[in-house]
Amino acid sequence: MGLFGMEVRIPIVMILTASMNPDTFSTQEDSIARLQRGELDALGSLMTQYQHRLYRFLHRLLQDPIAADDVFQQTWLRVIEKIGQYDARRQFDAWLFSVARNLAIDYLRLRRSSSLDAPDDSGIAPVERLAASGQSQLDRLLEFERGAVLAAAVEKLPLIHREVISLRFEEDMKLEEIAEVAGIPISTVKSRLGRALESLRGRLEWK
Amino acid sequence: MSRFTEEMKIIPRPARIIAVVAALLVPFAALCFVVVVRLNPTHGSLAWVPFAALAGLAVMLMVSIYALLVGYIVGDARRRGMSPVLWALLAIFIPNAIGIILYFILRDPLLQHCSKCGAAAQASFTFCAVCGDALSKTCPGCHGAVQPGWSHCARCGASLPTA
Amino acid sequence: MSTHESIRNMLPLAAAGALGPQEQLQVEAHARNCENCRTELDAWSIYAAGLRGLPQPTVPADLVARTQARILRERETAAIVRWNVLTLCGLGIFSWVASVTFWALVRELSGGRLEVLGTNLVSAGPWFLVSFTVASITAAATALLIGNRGEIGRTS
Repeated sequence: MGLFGMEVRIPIVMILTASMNPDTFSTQEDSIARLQRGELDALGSLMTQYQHRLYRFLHRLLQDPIAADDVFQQTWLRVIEKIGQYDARRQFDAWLFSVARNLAIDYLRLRRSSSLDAPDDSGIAPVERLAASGQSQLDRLLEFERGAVLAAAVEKLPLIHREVISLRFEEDMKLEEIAEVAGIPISTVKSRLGRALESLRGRLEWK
Repeated sequence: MSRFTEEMKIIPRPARIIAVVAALLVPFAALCFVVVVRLNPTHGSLAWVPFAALAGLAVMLMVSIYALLVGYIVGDARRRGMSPVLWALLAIFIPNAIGIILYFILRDPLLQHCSKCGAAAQASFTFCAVCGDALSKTCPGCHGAVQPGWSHCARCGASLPTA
Repeated sequence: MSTHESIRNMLPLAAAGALGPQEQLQVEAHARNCENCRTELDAWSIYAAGLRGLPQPTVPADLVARTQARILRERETAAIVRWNVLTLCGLGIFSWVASVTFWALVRELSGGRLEVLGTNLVSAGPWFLVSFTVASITAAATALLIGNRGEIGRTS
């Protein structure tokens, strides 16, 4: 079926479609508009554009590659279902990530009874601590270059903190966008971000 | 609607002929009813001529549709490895067309065909009985059929290659 | 709370770029004069930089392809279910129309009365009672004897 590729029978059509390959010419707005009209071929290029960011975000939330894989697929299924309700004046990124975030939360609710607010101490190796609190800035910087220390500490944060950290620092989203993705007011975004950072530093330096 | 026309092609010729004949007889039946009513004025509501004509029309249409449905059941049963005669009889003789509804609910899935030798096989089979080729992807552990999208075999739990 | 205290609380957010322009200027102005806060701000900035550079997970190579395949499959299944529902509804309607037509026909042809075992079989009550009882019994018997392989049960 010609759903994700061109079903071509006539050579002329083949030449035309080769020169008008939708992937090379479409901008993101094009793809979204086409998706809203029901042209599912636009989905392929959208998925490819967003795959790294979306997968990274889901991996940050779910901390499991298999779960991230599954929710990634579910997210796009849901996008197709709800594309009719998407208002093109809104940011697509924020909408997409909010769909993904809600599905991730549903996934976790289904599989784990632990609260989403509690620190995530499940089976992850204990965090290395930075030596002494008198450490110089340079030393701290060198530690972080390795990445592992900070990453391990982030893994132990509760979900609501990992969420805002990932959206602010990895996705580089503005506070309004984060508020939209997480479905919380901007003031809550700020306070969670602040608490997340303090809790990170607390784990690494002072305990 | 193209799916509908696809399905209609299954109906065997005799059934189509009966259906067409019945449809063509619609005006004739309407006429018959009117004549009968004229001759026997004691019949109840049919005494009203338009109603009698309508009755004739309805009866013939039902016969036509019934013929098409029974014909479809015969053709469809054959391509699913079910007994066409049995199901046709059930469709005709269970009152109120319940037999037809029953057929649609209970029918087997379509037969699958071996990609190597073309022999027909039931949908629940995993290997071809004629040439032994696997009919779909199988589990490396228990050789059971696996559906696309599974990451583990649902029968033996073996983890499946993702490709 | 003194200015110093409130600025200290805003330092992490300042490093994260999460303050409004006014607040950001406030913090920077204070940090120019306060050694303590400046050190803290630098520390937070290092955290922010570190968080921007966390190790990234690798996306499985075939993720998009598998997602497309799954979408295709789910749409096909949904289409089949829709078709089955439509067919059964159509047949249900047909069944009612056919049974009423048949009854009306028999009633008129028999002149309105058909005595069987003391009751008038062609009046509405007895007729539909008998015909639906017969239909249900034969349908149930058939379902029990034959119906363990149905396709509709699987796809819907």
